[in-house]
Amino acid sequence: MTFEEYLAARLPALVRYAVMLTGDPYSAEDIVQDAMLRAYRVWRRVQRADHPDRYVKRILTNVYLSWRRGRRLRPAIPYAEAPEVPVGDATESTALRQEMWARLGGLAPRQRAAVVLRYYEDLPDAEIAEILGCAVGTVRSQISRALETLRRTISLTNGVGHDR
Amino acid sequence: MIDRELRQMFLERETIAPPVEPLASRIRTRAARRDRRIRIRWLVTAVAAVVLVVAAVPTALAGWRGASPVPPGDRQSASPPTSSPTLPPGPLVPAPDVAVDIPVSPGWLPGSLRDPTYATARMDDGLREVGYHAASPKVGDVESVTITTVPAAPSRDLVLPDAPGDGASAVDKRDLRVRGHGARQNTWTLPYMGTRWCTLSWAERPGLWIVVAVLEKTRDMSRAGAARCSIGRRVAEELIERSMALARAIRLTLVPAGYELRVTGTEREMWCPTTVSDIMYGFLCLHATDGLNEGSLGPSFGVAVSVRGHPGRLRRLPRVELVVPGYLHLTMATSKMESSIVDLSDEDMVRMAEAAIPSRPW
Repeated sequence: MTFEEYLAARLPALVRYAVMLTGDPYSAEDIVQDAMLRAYRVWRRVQRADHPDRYVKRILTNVYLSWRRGRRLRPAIPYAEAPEVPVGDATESTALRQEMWARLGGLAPRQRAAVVLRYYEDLPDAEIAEILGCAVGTVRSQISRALETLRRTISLTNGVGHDR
Repeated sequence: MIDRELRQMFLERETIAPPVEPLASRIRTRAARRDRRIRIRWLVTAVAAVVLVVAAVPTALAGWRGASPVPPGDRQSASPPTSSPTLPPGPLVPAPDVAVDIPVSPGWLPGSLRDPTYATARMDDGLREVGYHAASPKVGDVESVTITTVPAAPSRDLVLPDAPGDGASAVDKRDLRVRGHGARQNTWTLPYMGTRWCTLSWAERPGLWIVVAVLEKTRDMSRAGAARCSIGRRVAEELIERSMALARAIRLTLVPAGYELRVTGTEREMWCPTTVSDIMYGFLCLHATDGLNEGSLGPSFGVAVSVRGHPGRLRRLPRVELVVPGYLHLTMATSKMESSIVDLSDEDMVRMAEAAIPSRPW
């Protein structure tokens, strides 16, 4: 697969992943652009990898982690809120998810990345560990700590979330 | 329960993902530019080798070098429009000329770092920051030096952005004196990144706190290694209390009435309605970037416009967006997103773009 073909096929998914990591579309564009240029520089290596997509996702995740340090000052700029989908008790559920989205920004970057990889990308812990460059146990502890933080928030605002 | 809510939350937020066409175009442009740079570098190397071999023709060499590049200063000092924009009655007003300075300047920097590569100024909390990044740092090199000033004690995010649970080592915290003031030194390493951080923070005088942050590439992840911070201390000690103008990627000289500057610097300029007090609602603001990395856009991206003779595209989704590849990128919320926003016409968008001062002359 050439770089151009990969770009055409995978860019939308990578941008969505970056939005979940950064929380705003502007920063997502920045880190995807940076990551894709890094991938372009080592494209032959990416092509030879067993899972090129995982390779690129690892680059993107690393760019996000270092971006949170090097460019940590850019304000988080949320975009227009997504239209809400009425499911169950829509009002309570909507408020809950809005609160979670806000609290996600307060997580440590690696915790947030781990949560996004598991709950958005639906990856198994072993793959998450490979992308984050750490042990599976570390992934689990990162996610566990992140969920604990989110649960605390939810229980404070809604009195739910202790059922796991 | 929380698993299901998280999954649902992420799915709902997919709608805020930006369109990929402009981004793909920017990536292609920058990739092509990189290829060109490499080809030129090879060519220059080859030519230099030939010239060295044929050393008997130094005058030819001098002639070849005669075409000097544009001095860097010219590129930075974008000249303002030759005449001030004439304003027909409408929703645009001249932007107030806000001085964007950092109150200190570096008196010494490591040799590999010369010109600022990054700057930001936030109007809300008075933060000013200038960063110097090495082009391609190797192990043992300083990757970046960042100098930040704030009017009040700096937040944790500035002096200690990494938590040990976040892949960072334990933090070595020391109290010491810098420039005759009590200061806090934090050092830590990021083994998975191969980097070492040092931040120094102190109150220079009432209303002026300074943070110096140094990032080094290193293989030495020991605690002793982490405790070293000689470069940061030297940068701090040799700071000069002389204000320095911060670079801006773009400067808007016409803005919608009722908007004020919130953030500017090398990344973007953000103007918000005065009614938007919280920067978290930045999606209601006007954003301007320099468009240097924008590639050409096809007919699917709105309508064609001309800005100072340069071709651009303007489109309206919920947001209105004007892109002039190589010059600028404006994006602004519309009344469809927030009813209190006064929409700009296409002509107003173009007029605002024409009055902008990008980082290189039009």
